[in-house]
Amino acid sequence: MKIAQKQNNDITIFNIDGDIDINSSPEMREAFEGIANAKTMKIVVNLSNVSYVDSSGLATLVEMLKKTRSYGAKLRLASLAPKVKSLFEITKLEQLFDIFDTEEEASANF
Amino acid sequence: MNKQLSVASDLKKIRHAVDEIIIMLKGLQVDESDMFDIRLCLEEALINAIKYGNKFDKDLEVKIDFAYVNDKINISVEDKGIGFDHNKVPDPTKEENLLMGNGRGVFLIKHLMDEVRFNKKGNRLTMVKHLKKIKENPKETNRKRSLL
Repeated sequence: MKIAQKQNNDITIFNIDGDIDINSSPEMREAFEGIANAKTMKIVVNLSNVSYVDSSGLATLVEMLKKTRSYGAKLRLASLAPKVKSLFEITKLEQLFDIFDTEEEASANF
Repeated sequence: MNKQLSVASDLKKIRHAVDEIIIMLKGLQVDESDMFDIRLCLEEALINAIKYGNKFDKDLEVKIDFAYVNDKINISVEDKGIGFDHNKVPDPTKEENLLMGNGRGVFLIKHLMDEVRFNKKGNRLTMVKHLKKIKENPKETNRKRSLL
């Protein structure tokens, strides 16, 4: 897994490349710790290069959401592959997350 | 087509075992969507077997039985643990459980596979996927099936 971080004005964008599974989830959690500790308020996680997520990956994303909510920040997900998006629908996590078709849409009107 | 595999109770060993199954599925020209479901469910079953069944005891193995029969993939995953009652796993889609950190693995297996059975003890999970879609190339598909 590769994680790239960039800034778009006051929005922090995470680009994840690779599977989010039980082996790579700790790496993503660790990368996210930094922005949570910095109390970053607007976060977009771009998943366009993620073709596989398991239940550990879903749990990690839920954990990230809980953490951002705990200090009043907003976290949005963008560009989910159809199969990945279907997991959010099946597990009803789509009710928890703000999910957008593109990074641009997720970054607009934050 | 049948295959038996044993995996040590180490999460890092899962990938290799799953890759072996994936190679067979690719050989059968299984559709990408079905392949995703089978990979996910097998990995979830192995994680549960290693974590909750064998409790990370590396001396204990998890057994995988794979079979391809009549356009169905049958996979059984058995650990050496005391078993568990899958009916007692809370429904992760209930509003009060949505923020749970775990508990989605068995739910996903039940949702993505066509048949899911546990033995009485609860340490052996059998799941079946009906392959609705085989990649378009009937000539090649028929050739491969005639070899099985």
